Amino acid sequence: MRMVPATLGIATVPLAYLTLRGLDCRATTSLLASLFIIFENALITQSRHILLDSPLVFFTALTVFVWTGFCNEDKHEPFSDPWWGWLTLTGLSLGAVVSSKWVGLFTITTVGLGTIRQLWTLLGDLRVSPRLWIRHFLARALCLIIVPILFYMIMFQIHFLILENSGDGDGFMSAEFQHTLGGHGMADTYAGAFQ
Amino acid sequence: MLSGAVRARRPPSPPPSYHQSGPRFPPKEGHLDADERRAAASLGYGPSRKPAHASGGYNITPGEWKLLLVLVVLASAVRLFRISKPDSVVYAIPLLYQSTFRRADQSRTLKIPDSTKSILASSPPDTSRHDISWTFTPHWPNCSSRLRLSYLGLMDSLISQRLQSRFLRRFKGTCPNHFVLVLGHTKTRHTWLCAWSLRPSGSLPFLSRT
Repeated sequence: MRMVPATLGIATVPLAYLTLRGLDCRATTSLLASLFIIFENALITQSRHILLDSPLVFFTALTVFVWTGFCNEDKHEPFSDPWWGWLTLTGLSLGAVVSSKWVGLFTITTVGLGTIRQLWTLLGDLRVSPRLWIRHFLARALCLIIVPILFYMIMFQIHFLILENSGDGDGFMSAEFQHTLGGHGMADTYAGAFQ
Repeated sequence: MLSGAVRARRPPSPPPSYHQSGPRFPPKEGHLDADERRAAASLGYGPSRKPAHASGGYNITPGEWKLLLVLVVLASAVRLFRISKPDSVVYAIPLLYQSTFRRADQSRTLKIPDSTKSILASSPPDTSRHDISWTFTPHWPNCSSRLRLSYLGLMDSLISQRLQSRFLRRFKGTCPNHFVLVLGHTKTRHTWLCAWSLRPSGSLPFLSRT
């Protein structure tokens, strides 16, 4: 069980390197940052315990990585296949972040502010027609809003499909939900009725 | 007061055989004229005039992929070492020397203070406390450097920090362009000194227990 957070903690290191390279940093700078992450005591400790923080850090790093790739691709050639790929991956990783912990909403906020800045820049560019600007807006709305919501809901659906039986954590759920679980020990009660 | 007799003189015309080989003002690299920019905008390109990035913006050389592999192996070693006992972590105390170069051709030896010696002497006798050090030259991308690893024995992190501060005082200014790292483990207390020289000809500092 510890291998999962440990593996995610290991995978964060090359992501940091590649993100910095994508931001036009030198290889030496990226190497130094990666070494800092390798030997950072808090990150090491988080990676060695069965906690949700390690997936959160990994998916946050993944989001920053693919968002950097998308921003570079946006300067290169919008609406190309790689452009759509990076944008969709950003949406999927945003869904993974917020599925790990709700603290991931701050990552969504960060990407959202960057998106607003991009759209604002495009809005002030007189060479971009209104029709083209709407295409930019709709593409970002689809991939950065709809895709993360769908990902989040699909994760819940997977949980409902897998965890269909009663367990120790039933007390955290509502009575109506507990009655949907198999083997629940909650006695049926009569519903109140007006006389 | 100027009189009407003063006339501006036209510069002499080039000879008939003169042909200008190129434009008088050659365009800058990456520059787009108005028509090209309008055409680019119609395709949805951004306003930047800078040279376009590669796809996704990630230009990773083959040497860097090897470097990434080394980083992943190092991260795996740090994170997976004694993972069944997660309360202990591999710690590192880095120091980066950027001072002027003075005596890089001369190795310096640091003597461990008496307080450290007494603690070292109290460590279990069955543990080997001899120094192991070796030097090798990794094939770094565009860089030739040397790396020396020295096994320091059993220390706790506090002693390592003291040692590190003493090391800094002793070697400040004498071993420039070195990246020195003390690696240790909080539970087993095995401690290593890692010195990385950016100068292939420069000698590396080392620690001695004598």
